[in-house]
Amino acid sequence: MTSILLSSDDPQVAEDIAFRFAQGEGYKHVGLSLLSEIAKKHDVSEEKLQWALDGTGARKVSRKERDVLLSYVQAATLETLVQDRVVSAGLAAHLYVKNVSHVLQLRVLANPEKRLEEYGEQHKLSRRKAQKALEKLREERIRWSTESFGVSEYDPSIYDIVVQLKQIDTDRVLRIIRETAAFRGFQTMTYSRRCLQNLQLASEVHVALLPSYPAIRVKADGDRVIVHVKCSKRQKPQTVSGIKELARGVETVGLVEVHTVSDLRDADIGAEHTQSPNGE
Amino acid sequence: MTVITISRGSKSMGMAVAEHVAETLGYECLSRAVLLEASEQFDVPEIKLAKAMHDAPSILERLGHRKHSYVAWVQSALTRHAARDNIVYHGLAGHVLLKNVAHVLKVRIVASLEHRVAFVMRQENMSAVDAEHDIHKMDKGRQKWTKSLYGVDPTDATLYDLVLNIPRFDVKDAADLICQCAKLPQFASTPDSKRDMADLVQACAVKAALVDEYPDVAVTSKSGNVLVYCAAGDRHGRKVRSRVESLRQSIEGINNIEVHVGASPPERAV
Repeated sequence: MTSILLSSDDPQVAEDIAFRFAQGEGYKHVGLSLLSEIAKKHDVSEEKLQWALDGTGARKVSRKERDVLLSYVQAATLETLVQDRVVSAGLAAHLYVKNVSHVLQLRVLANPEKRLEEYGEQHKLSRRKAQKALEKLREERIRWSTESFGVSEYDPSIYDIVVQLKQIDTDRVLRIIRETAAFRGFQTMTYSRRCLQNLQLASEVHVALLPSYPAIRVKADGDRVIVHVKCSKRQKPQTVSGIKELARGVETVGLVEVHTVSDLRDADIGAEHTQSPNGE
Repeated sequence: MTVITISRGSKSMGMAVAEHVAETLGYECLSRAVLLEASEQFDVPEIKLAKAMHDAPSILERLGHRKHSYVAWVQSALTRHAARDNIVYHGLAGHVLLKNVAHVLKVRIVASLEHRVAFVMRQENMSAVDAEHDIHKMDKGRQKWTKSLYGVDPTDATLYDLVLNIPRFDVKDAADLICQCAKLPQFASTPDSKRDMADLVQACAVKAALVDEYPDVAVTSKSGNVLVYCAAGDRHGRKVRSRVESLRQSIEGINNIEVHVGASPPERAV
């Protein structure tokens, strides 16, 4: 059974569609309410988690802290997604769930005129100022998604479907999701389920390693975990043993392989968890 | 009664989807036919039109205006076809050439780079590096083309009603989704949208007639009332005015035609 990841340039639109779809089709709806659980589990503020996911407006946390917070969100979201029949919105899953065939990724673009009008009214801005503010938000989101996950969330090729709510209405979008989810290519297979489980395990190891090793990439295959880390030759023995020890602390991890690299872009590891394309 | 434009990245199997959609709906599938018609009507070799529609303008071409003429002629031929309804157009820039008409469903087909590289390697018997190089070159050319002529980026999803990532669908499933959207009442032609299309056909016909001599003109039309916008300058304005008068006879349906010198044209002008 398919899981669905929704995103939108207007977060409320994605949230509404996710909620309606989950109610109508009996899917589990996972959204921003998950943040309170994550906040409790990792003893961090929910507000900071929200900001880490939003990435717009005044900076509330450092880049390093934001990456750690996002790794918490990523691990918690993937944990819910392995259950199947989940519809998720607002947790940026469209940016880190890659190469899992039974996950349908859909982006809904709000009606631009309506959004402009609503945004202007909400923030008491003239049409021109609202237009500028929305353009700024767009640029901030592109910067945030590229820095955090290495892709722009405005790149349509990262989604299976992009629909614009100009002529096509929400009811039709719900129908498109329902019908697409029934296509053969989006059904859960043993292999696709395994891909998702691998992503989940990698994300848990990533959470465990990130505070000590900010420049890493993690991949999992079954219970085998492969870590690429950026470090100098001198630090290599200490880094390798430190990573192995921390990774083995994660439940279900078997073998841990650690590769040291001078540039993380050289790490050819497919569907990975990456701190940033530059490995900062 | 709908018009569907399918824009596609190079080697993204958009043509196969377009043909499937046309077959399912019983629509006419158009791409090269538009070029052929423009080639015949304006007496230009098809290869030149195809090149103008495909390649980004070079520095010399940007200084000249020939490319603008070719594009205006292709647009005129396309709008004439589109006015007959029930077509699937998968040639270049349909979404910008047929903008501002409500019953046009604008679709874009995308595919991941890996998928496209594999496709080109198979089809052209190329190495992965060469295939990737070719694809990047083609994409850049198309992006530059649309940006230079229309100021928009063809990869911007907001230009379309629907974007489908083709490797995730088979051709039939993608075509089914497009057909369903095409059947929505929002995309059915109405008397208003038909009038908009007729206005666009007329504006394009006037532009096509003037563009070779006056490449800077912009044209709008509303119910047979045509406005021609051109750059300031008394002599220039007089020349355009006298040329425009002769169009009353050669283009059908013109009630009134005016020339606005020095005024900036509205966004919907062609």
